[in-house]
Amino acid sequence: MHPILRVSLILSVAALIAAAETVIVHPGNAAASLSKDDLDAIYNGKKANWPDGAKIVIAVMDGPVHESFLKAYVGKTSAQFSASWKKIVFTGKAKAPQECKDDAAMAAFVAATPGAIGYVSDAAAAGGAKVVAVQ
Amino acid sequence: MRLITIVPTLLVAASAAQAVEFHGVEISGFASLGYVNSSSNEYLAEGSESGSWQMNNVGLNFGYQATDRLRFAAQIYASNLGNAGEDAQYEDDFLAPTYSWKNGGVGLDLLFAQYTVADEFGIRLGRVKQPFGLYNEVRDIDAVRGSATLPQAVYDDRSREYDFAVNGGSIFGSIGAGKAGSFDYQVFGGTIDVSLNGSVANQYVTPEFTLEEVTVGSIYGGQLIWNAPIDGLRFGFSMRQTRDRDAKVAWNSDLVVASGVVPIPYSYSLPDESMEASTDTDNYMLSVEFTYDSFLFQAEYLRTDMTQSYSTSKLTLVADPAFLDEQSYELTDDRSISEGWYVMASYRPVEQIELGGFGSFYTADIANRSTKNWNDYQNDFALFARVDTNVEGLMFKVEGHVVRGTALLDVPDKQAGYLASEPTADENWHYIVVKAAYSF
Repeated sequence: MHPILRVSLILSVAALIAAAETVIVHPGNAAASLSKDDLDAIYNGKKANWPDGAKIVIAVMDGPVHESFLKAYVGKTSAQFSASWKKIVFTGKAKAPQECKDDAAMAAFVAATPGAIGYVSDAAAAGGAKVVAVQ
Repeated sequence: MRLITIVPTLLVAASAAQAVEFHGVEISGFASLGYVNSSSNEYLAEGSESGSWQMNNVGLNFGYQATDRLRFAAQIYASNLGNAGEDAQYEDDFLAPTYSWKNGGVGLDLLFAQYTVADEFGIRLGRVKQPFGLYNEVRDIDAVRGSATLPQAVYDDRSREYDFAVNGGSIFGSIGAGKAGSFDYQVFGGTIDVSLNGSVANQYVTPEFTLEEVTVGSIYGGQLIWNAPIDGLRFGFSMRQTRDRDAKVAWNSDLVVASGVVPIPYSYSLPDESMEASTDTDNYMLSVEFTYDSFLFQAEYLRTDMTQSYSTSKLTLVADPAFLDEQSYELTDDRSISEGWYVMASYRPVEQIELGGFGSFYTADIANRSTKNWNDYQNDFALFARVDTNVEGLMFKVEGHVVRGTALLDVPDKQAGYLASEPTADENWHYIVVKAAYSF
């Protein structure tokens, strides 16, 4: 295999592995799966309500899981994501995402908040939140 | 006094890690403290030639999600951006007094009710920001950009008073387009109140006239953003039309005397009639943005088509013939088309540091782009650095500019008008800006 192709393949596999965050929602949410476009729209503030009309409540957490999630599904770095939400908040259009400090806090918040969506590093850390597949 | 005001604000805000929620009301805010030093032309702030701290702002934002689809939002704002004028005789606040805490005023940037029918359609009623270009709605927020100032060729701070928000409403939505990406749109309309001492009024000031009244009939426009199917790439088109911006002016005999052009003792008579100038303006903006990893590239082009008509075709000044011949103005309807554009790039070598630069270019008359008259163009080259500290939301910025031309200075800076003395502005100049900013 050509060295450039080999490097590209390795990087692609690495990106897939890095995008292994588990997306979670409130257990009352009927969704069994979400598309990458759905996540992009939700986390970019363009999709405000679930199909049943409930308000989407976005949760994020700091650190490498956040960076990896943003890169895989939102197409932004942490700094770009923060700047884009400052734009949304200071134009009054939506509430800023809820910040959670770690997997446990994220899982607890999402499990307790109707309409919430978040992510954890591993399905085992989902706690009482509902895990949804990303297609 | 200004330091006393801004420092506690920053300290109180710094104690909050993120937006505060109180009985369901979300509270967030921003503040900045800036220093500007201009080699000449007193740019951006009064006294900037010897260094000025009059470059500050503070805003508080309130949001309340009443139901799944109904939201209320408000933002109050105060700033102090000094005086763009070089001559104290024409001293005016660079921004409207209603936004200047120097005059004890706090402005209402937005106050609206928002109902989201679907992702594709929503409506806002009240005082709403004007979507125009990549930055107009957030032009005061340091957290959303690396630079300390926005390219003035496109985001002229003198025009903030009527470029920023309208009392009216807007509709908005985001529409998916499959493999073609998605589209975001906003359409707005309304009107504004104009302060006689504000930045808009300042643009009418000449040694000969006193502004008596400014009113605006309507402002309406819209924005369409295409999020291309390439990650990080988007294109935008914005337009805005301002109709019936009417200014009523009268001869200013005090300034004629103060100008020193007419010798004393002398006698003179001035027309006692007022004159009305009516202005219609069309703005069009093209935008492109591309982000790739930690790189950011942006470019925008603004075209402004302005038509002005007058209620009087001729004004005459009669002085003692021993000292000054009869002088008169011939006034005819005129149309001017100006343009401004910029290219900006930045890079974050590490998470907490952003380095970048931009070139900003303004031409007062596109029919005369090759003009050698430096009052008719302004080219600005800037380099900037932003450092985000370990205190979340707290950042520092430093920015240096090299400028040629003075087209974006106010009329008094250029001493326009036939009664004026020689222009005092300098063609080649530079300035630096240092800022501390916080948001939560």
